[in-house]
Amino acid sequence: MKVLVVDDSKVMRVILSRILKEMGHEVVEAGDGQDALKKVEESGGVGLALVDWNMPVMNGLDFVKALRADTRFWQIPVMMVTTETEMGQVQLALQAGANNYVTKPFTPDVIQEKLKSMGF
Amino acid sequence: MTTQITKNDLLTIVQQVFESMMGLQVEDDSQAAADLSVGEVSMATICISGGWNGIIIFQSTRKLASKIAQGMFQLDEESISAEETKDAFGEVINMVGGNLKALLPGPSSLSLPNVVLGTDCSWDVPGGTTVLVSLFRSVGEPMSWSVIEEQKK
Repeated sequence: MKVLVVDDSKVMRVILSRILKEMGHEVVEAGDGQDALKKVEESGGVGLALVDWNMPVMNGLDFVKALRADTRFWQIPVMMVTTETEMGQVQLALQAGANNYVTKPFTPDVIQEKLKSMGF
Repeated sequence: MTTQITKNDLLTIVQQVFESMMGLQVEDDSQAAADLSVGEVSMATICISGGWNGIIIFQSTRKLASKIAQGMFQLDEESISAEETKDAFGEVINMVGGNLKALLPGPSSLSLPNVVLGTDCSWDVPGGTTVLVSLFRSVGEPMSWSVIEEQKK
């Protein structure tokens, strides 16, 4: 499956890509929400998106809202992977359309278990 | 409101970040300051604004910054660029800052991190009150974490 990893930090994209590739997935990377929308468009959609919150240009929350507003891509599952650990922020992301939420720091096991719980 | 963050809160968060993301142990070391006073250092800052306003400052030796990058990228020292070191160092303060923010009065927002790799770096935050300075050590290298609260006008 093709998975989009959206994070402004290269090292976080590398870490998440490593985990996803070990699970047998193909990875598309984007450095911010705007870049991610472009990559989704170019890819003709992806099977899943892992999205950071705090990014320049377009943050993860606005990316999720934009994705949910697009009739072509609104069904793409989204898991937020972020340092935003406050419950209010989690609720905000879920209300915006995120399907799951992981806080940083994480271990590979946490990511794999979350994805399995989402059916991946 | 004055921050209630303790040294133990900070140590727990830093240990979680270092152990889970790069497999490094972190220990409390009040003697670490002397090893950070001169030479090549790395410094990162991140701001919290909202229910609590202030700045978190992370300082370490360049060697520790390189170890952090090596651990996160899973590459050897020769393969890590300065840009990758800055990226990894910035992500560490991003994770620590995000988790500290959850312990402070909110709601607040977290800025993007700023990172400097330099020599003999020092800092000053006009209008800020230092509410916590903690010294830790990892892989034999010193680091300091400072929490500065903005003074109310």
